[in-house]
Amino acid sequence: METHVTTDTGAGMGGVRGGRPHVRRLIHGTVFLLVLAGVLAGLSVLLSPRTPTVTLGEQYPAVRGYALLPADTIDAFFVGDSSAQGAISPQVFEEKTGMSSFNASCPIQKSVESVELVEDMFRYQSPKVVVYEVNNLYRDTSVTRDVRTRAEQLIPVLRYHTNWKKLLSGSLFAPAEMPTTERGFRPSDRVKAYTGGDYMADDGSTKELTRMAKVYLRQMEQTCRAHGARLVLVSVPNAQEWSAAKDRAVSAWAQENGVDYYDLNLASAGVGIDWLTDTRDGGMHLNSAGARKATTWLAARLA
Amino acid sequence: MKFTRWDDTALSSWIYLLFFLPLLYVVYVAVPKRHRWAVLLAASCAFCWLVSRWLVAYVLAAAFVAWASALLVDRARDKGKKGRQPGETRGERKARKALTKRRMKAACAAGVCILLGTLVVVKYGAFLISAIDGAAGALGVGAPLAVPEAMALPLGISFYTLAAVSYVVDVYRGKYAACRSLGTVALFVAYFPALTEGPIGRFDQLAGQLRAGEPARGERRAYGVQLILWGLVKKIVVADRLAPLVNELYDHHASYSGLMVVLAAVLYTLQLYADFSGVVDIARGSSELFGVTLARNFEQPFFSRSVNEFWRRWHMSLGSWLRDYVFYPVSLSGATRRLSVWARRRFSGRASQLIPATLALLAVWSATGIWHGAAWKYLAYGLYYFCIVMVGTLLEPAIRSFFAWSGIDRGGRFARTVSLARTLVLVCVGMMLFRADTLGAFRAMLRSVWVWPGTEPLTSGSVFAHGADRYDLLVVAVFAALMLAVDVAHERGVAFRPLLLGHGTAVCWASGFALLACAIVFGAYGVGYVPVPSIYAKF
Repeated sequence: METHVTTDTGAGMGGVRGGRPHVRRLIHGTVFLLVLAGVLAGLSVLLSPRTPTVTLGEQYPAVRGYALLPADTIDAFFVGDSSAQGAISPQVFEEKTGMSSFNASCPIQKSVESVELVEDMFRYQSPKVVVYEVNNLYRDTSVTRDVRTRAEQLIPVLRYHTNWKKLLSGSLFAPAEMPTTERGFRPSDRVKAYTGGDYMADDGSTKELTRMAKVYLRQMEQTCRAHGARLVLVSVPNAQEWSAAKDRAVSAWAQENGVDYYDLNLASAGVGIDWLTDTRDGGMHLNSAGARKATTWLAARLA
Repeated sequence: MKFTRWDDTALSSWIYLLFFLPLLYVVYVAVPKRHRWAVLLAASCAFCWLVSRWLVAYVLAAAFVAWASALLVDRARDKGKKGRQPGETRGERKARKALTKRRMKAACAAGVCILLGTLVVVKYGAFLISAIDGAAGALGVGAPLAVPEAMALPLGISFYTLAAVSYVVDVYRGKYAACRSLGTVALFVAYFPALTEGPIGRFDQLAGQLRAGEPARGERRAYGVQLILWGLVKKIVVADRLAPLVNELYDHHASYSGLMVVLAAVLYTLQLYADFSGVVDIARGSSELFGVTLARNFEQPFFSRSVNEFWRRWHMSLGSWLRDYVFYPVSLSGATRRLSVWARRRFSGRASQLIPATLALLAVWSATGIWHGAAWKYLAYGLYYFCIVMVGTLLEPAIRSFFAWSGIDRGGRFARTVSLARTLVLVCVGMMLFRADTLGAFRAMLRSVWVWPGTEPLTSGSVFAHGADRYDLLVVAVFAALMLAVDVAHERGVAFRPLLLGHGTAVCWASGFALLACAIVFGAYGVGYVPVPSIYAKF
């Protein structure tokens, strides 16, 4: 058979006999992957933030302010979505317990991001207790979200690629934005009453946690245990998004896994939230008055 | 128009580029050659399912209708040939042929009516009922109709329907025999790279390639990957980055005037070109990996010197489809021939030729407009170009006389530049009509162009507060210049494929990695960006 080499066969320079084309393809493939890895790594190094809070790669970079505090000075760490950001005040917590803390919560924080924050936080701090506000367990715990976040962790340029703007403007090397005295808490004096009735009315149903939500809970529990910290699950008062059905599911998981869980939405908890005056937006988030009550209640149980 | 969960599997999504396509390529190469077409068919159905769920039934039904009606056409033709009797008289032969033709026509018409009828009902049903209700209300006739909610659109219905119709009609015309394999016809209709935004394929060009089962290796594979990367850069670096600013200028057009409205028209034209050509490049590159070459859909459209030329270079597969299946049939129809005879009796000279041509052009441009969507503005969009073409045709003698009188060389640089600029202006105005929410919004925007200078949002920088800051526009400018450079090179006959692939592995890889790096760094994705659906996918 005539050995006729064309550029489109990919058969290589040596014709179609023997192992040489396969070896050549293997070498090409390996070199290709190495170059690809090098390009991605190089871009990641170039565009990763130089300080945790100076980046365009995170929508709320202030959540990483714990990395800027003196090492091992935080006794309690709070994480979750905007419910927790508006309900737990580290200042009030320290006032009641003498424990310093940091609130790494932010709007639309996903569960996988909460897990990532806790893992990252232990590189800088050694809190005795990690408090996870569980509202985001019911928001986007899809596999695609998980894969996307893991890819960003593996290849940082996928998360921080927009930092080219800060690189061009020179602000990528700007001084860090230090945490304020609020330490992540978002105070608000606005009052907009919730008048919707008993949102915790129990119809006996259970809103099951997804498989990925349980994976995240397990990961967070294992991370805390590995660092000698205690994981506490919490549900802060949220009249728009929480329910007895969700409480039942989280409570069941907590019991099965020996993790403390406090639901501040239960009437029996006796937090004392007045939905006419203690919410800033009709029940989804507490205002400063409501946050003081919630934090005081929590402090009494964590001290 | 409603879609169900389509963003995640858009051709520019990471799920498609990093999982669906590579996995499919590995499977395609691994299976025996004779089964590879089935892998492509399964993948196409899976793609459609991921995007549209049960609406995949529409695509498969269309494929079945096309296959069955083409077979019926062929059967009628064969029966007619075999029905020839020995000693048949001329009259009997004529009658037999007429019967055969009627049967063939019936089978073809049935298939085409079902295919186009489905498209009309699903895509235009609610609009038509609303229009009839509005007209009846204006005339004070009849009771108000219950206007239904717009139906969920199956993925690619406007594209695969035309492909299926072309297959049936080509068989009827005797261009090729009907394909006995339902699987092959189904693959042609549902072929996933071309499903969302074309190009609209022709059966005789694609069927052989689809069945051949020859995956791309070496240079062809590298070309496919580079085409994908180039398309991705155009889509996520240029088009998606412009989207927030364009949306702001059009959604709040009453707040802008003068230069800002001109900017809106120009930026949307750029966004649409980058988006549409980008996704088509990804489709063509994807298809190359499986050894299937899809037709080009763009040929440097902004180098056109007339709108006629523009539409020969823009969305070429739609233009050629309308030429072959609307313009020619209307031009050669009995009605047009009778109109032509009538016009020759009533009028002299050009008028007698123009009148029948006008009918065919009106059909083509109306179809061009309404194919894009169920709204009056799309019909107006088609008629806008119809008017321009007709005015150009009517003024042609006067224009020729002007050039003769002035001594200006019509093919010279000055005349070419003027006609190029004129065409660009006309196209941008057309795109403004295309993008505006309603005809009223378009009229208001057009009026406000004359409010001068209207540049305050630009000079004060407030326009940069709507999702596209100075850096975004800088990146857009740089990559738009790159797109222009590539188009200039193509226009001058420079072929990039041998340029990039014919200088060794190092050059090939360097260009690929450069494109990849640009897409990763400058792409409009992630935090701070909202996923932007492909513009033409909604048609």
